Amino acid sequence: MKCKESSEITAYLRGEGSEEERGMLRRHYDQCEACAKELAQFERTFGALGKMETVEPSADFQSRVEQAFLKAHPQFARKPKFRLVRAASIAAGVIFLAAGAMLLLTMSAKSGKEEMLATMPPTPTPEEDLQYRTLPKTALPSKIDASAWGEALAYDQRLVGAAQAVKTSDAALKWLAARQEADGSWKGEDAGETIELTGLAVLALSHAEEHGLAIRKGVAFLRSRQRDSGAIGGGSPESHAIATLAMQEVAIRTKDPSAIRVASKGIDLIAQQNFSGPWGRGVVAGWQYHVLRLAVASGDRALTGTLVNGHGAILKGDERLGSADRTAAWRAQLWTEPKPDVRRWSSEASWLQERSPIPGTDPANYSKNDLRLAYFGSALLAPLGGDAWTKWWGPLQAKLAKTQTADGSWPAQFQSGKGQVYVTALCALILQTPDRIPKLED
Amino acid sequence: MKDIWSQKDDAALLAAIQDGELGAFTALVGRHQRSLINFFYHLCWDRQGAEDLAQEVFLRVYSHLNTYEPQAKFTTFLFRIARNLWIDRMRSAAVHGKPLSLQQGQSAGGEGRTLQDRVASRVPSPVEILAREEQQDALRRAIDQLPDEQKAVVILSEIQGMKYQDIGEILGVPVGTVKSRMHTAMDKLKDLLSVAELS
Repeated sequence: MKCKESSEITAYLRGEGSEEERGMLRRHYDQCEACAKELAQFERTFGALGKMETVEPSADFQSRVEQAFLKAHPQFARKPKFRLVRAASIAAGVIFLAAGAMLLLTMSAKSGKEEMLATMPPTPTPEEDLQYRTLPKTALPSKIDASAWGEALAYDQRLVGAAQAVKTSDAALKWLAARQEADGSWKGEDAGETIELTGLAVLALSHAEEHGLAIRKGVAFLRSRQRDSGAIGGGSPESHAIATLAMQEVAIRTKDPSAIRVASKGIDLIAQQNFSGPWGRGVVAGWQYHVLRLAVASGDRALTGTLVNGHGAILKGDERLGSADRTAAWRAQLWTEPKPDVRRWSSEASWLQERSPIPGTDPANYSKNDLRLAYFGSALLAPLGGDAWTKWWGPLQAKLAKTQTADGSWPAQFQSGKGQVYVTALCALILQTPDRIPKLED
Repeated sequence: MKDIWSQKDDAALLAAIQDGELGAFTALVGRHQRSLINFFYHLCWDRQGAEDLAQEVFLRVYSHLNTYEPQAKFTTFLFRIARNLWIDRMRSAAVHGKPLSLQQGQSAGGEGRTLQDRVASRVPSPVEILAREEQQDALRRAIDQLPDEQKAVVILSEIQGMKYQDIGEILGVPVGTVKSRMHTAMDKLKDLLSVAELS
């Protein structure tokens, strides 16, 4: 007989529903044999659909559509050229008036519109941030400014240096490595969660040379789940971003060609998604912009434009986000700045001191823990340093040390709705934060 | 460096199109061509037919701009037009006996696939080519056995990666209906696809 919760399985596998609803379903599927069986069957079916071929547009498709459009609407071809000059002037801003005049002269000499437009700086982000109460009022770069990113170079070198660093293993990493499946994954409740867990575990292990084999197997698994689009797995953008970040760090440290290939395709997808502004919100943006900034830092300077495009919009509506998502959005915003004002950021981020990601070490309090807040709060405050960081990090580090079990793991209940692999990998990553994300002011 | 239009979001491009900017229209096509062509490709399994239909949708976007609500997602608007066009074509085919696509009948088995399609697959060995093509044929056959309303939900969810809420808006049905169609479709696909194809 079918269980009534079985009708929710496809929605559950697709990541639909609130965290609370998903947590309830996960607990049910843990206990219901019939549902667990059906869930496994559907997961395989989703996996097969994920292998469905896709086609690329013909090289001339765009121009064919343009021609058909012009044929139907010839008025578009007769557009007077001065409008382009006007658009150019607005885009460049009033201060570029003189440059606009020069552009006008240049335009008459050049033949193609794209050729002329390509010489202009990108348009300033249209929306101001004034409506948000606690936004750090850092100066928005108005264009892709080579000198601003030049100033970021020293920090970016330290960021890459941190990714290259080799660390010794510890009890948590040994516990994680021992939980790896034969296929190289860390198994979750479904395909999407398996990607997330494998990404987190590989990321946590990525600096420990003694776990080289586990890392290589993890890389091979994630590579086998990467689609033509670059997406690692067919699940959530969060798991894709985590897996891509893991591949990036492995690629930077080991130069493993397989990790380089997976990371490159994964970064391309995230860059494409975020090209004209942030594609995801909160935690998704937090992971995605980490990937983009690390890509810029490791040499892909063309992506600075994507960071600039994200800058003005990441914090849009952040006051309506929950603590973890809001903190992640702030972390994403910090990644987009070539040279952040540390004092201003520290002052603006003081609201974080009022939030405790791990309220207490008594198991009765575990249900109140928010490890994503702990991770992104640490990732935001570690580079700022100073009092804000010390006040955050001291109690957090002490609580993590106190709750770690003798075998190196943290209890599954440490974060409700998540398993022990997730909890242990994320706790290990939180403790690695100061090593992975250097201080902005050295 | 890309031109300025590719840096604008969809809403800004639509506003610029209304202002007569051809570059904005071309940028919009460039941004959404792949997803739209693949939407039709998975309905008709004919690349050329899919491109023809996608072209028609882009032309309809301009003529339907007065019905676009700026606060809505452009992709929802775009795929609603695409979905309606597909329904029109199906009705027309049913009434006039016309094929749904220009090459229907010769493409599904693989013979109608272009060299470009095959090159795009980038498969390394003949054995893998065969296995992959068999798997793709099996997937096509299974999906084609779904009723159209379920097929659309599967394609929008699994190929386009859309959330149920957006799919509901495109199809004009409640989220609960999307959920139940998806569940029924997956139940059928699970039975239609053999163990080997699921591995």
